[in-house]
Amino acid sequence: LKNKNKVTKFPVARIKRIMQKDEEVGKVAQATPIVISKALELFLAMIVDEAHQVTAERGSKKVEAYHLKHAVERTDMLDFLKEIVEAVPDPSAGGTIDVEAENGRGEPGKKKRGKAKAKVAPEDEEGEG
Amino acid sequence: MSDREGPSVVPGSDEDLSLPKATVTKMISELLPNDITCAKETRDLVIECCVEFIHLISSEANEICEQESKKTIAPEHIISALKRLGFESMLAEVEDVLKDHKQLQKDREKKVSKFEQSGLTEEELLAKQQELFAASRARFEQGQ
Repeated sequence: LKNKNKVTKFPVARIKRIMQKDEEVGKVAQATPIVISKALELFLAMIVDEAHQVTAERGSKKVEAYHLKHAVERTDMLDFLKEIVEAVPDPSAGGTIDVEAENGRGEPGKKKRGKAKAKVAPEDEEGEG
Repeated sequence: MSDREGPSVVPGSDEDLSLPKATVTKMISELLPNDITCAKETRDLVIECCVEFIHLISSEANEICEQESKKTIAPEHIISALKRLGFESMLAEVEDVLKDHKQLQKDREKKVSKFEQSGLTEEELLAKQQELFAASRARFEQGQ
């Protein structure tokens, strides 16, 4: 009840840690992750919306990973996500014939950010710190 | 600052640094129409995309920060980064959040300085407070 009027937000401290995982990134002002949190909210809305459009176009009621993949491929602003969605398999029925994706299926050891299936929830995993 | 971190925050594990699944799941369901669901695989993919977005913006902002010979990445650098990367549509709302935050900080500082400027010691202020309470109680009891 306390949070009835509040919209769900991203954890600011976590954002800062993610930023600083990049060794190039040094000090970060206190307000900076707060501002990124807002941008991230908007970004999330954007990709969910784009993916959902694909879902609707296909007459589906469930947003599948390959819907998101197609959304990324057809939206300029989401270009930087191409590598991340690359490994998502296209179903053969109704999927676009994408030569690059076909070749990429061998997964030539590209940097992977934890594929969905193999990945264990970070919150549950003990780190090797 | 309450960050609503997951139940087990493991400070040592930098490797799988990600965003909380529950939070993202909730946000996605708030965005989608009631009759549409989101596959778990999609949710996980969305999280990866969000993390990538943070890296993208941070990297660009870091460059801008260095170009200005500054050492600390400021919110203004983030805003410039968003512009440079083609996310102009976000600017208005992001700048609003920054404005609100600055105002909040200003208000906080004002409260602290009012206390410091009152010229009274803590005991004197405490005594004054008790007086005010007593007076208010008296008024209340009179009114009963």
